[in-house]
Amino acid sequence: MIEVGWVKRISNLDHRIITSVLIVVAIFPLAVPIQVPFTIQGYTTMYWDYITEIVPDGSTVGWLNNNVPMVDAQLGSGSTLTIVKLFQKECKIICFSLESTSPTLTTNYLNSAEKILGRELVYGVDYVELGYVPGMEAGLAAFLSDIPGFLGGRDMRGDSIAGMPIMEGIKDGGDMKDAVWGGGYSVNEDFAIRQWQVPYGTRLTSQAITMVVPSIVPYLATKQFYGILSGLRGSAELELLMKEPGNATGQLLGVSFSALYFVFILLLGNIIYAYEKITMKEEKR
Amino acid sequence: MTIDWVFIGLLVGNLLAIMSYTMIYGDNILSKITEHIIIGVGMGYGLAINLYAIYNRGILKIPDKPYYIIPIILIIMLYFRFYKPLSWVYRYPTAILIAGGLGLGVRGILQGQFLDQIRGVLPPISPLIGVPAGTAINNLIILVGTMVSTIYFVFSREFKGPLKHVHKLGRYFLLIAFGAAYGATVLYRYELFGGVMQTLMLPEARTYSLLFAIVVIGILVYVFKTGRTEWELT
Repeated sequence: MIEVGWVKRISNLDHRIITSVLIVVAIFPLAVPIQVPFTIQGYTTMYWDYITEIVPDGSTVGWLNNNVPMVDAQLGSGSTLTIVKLFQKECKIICFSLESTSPTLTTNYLNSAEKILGRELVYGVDYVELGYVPGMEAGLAAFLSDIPGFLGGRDMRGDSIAGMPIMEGIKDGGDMKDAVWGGGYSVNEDFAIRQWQVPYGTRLTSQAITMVVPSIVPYLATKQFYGILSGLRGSAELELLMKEPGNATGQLLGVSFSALYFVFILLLGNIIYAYEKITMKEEKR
Repeated sequence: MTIDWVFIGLLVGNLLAIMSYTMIYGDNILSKITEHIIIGVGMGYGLAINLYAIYNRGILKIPDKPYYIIPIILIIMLYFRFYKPLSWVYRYPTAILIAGGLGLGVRGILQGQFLDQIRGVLPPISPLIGVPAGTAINNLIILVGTMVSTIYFVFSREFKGPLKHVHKLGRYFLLIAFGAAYGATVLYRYELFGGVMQTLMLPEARTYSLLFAIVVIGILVYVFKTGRTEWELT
């Protein structure tokens, strides 16, 4: 009877205790940072190959950054390091966003990249910020069909894009042969396939939050996306590849602990459920 | 003395994060305040940014491109929904929005998400021979999984005999896919949580976060002790 009492107590455990333990589990590795060894996933290797080998040196690359503050901790580091790598290859980057909060983060990433690179980036030559494109999928389609027309000839800062060297010859989405699709929260990667990859044949790679990775994987075999930088783990792997350990690597242990805790709770819940079922059956007999 | 607004923003964010996490101890005044602030700020910011975009890229262009007045009229028509005698007017811009969205989506779906995806699970893109065993097994699983999962959605006939097993296998594949999607969602939430925790634990903000946590816990204890918020879960 005592055993059953314990089982009942665990099965009716207040969720507030479970979440409080989770907070401790997540904070502990941050307070006492330990570097955990991890391997590079195939998706990240494909992403790395794309930005290092497939994108031609000195080319103009589109970067549709849809990171919102919520996902910044996961994808921010990966975004910054991607920019660094592209600038190391002397690429030019055309930045724009489908999320209203993303342009601020774009500026942050560019500033961080500039610090890592240790050289000044020239606005209008090395990069341009075209800002927020409203209208989600319809907005993206309109933007890519006539970029200067959609923008009214002005960038995010209100400057004319007509005289900018980076915007020379950029009329539509097809003029950017390569692009990085920065996955946000509400912006769907299908938009990129439908409005960019299919109509213009632009090669795309993706930075995605962990939640949407399973829905992007089918596009890898067909090369509709070249690799995925998948969430925090992807960012940490890119930090490892670029030898720039940072925020993502620091968080990895906390997330791993939390995931282990989740698995433990899940197993415990199922074991107790099964135990209760068996006990009830025996009592009925 | 100059005010470091970025740092103040960081502290405000941290305080709101701690306040919103009090939700796990029950709906309370702190979590409610945070919810309202976040919704208000988000809506206000979104509205301002979008109005700015409409003004700059729409209204200001009307003298050069007079047809830009059409979407502006359609936007105004959408608001007729709030005026009951003429609320039917909003149906026209809504219909145009749906039709436009559908048309835009369809132009890429057929090629990008239907034909290319069929191509993607078949050789030569996903070969079963002449590749390492691991790749071949992966490709086979994807091929079989795609077929049996599709068969699961054939509702026009009852599956009997050997076909029953195909149907069942399709269900198992779907369940595994749901499990994978759920696992990815859980991990994503943990990553969000980890990100917030990391911001709270930044060296420059750590002391303030601890202070905020103490104050918030104090308030929580007060509201639960005084019965302003129910501790017992309903």
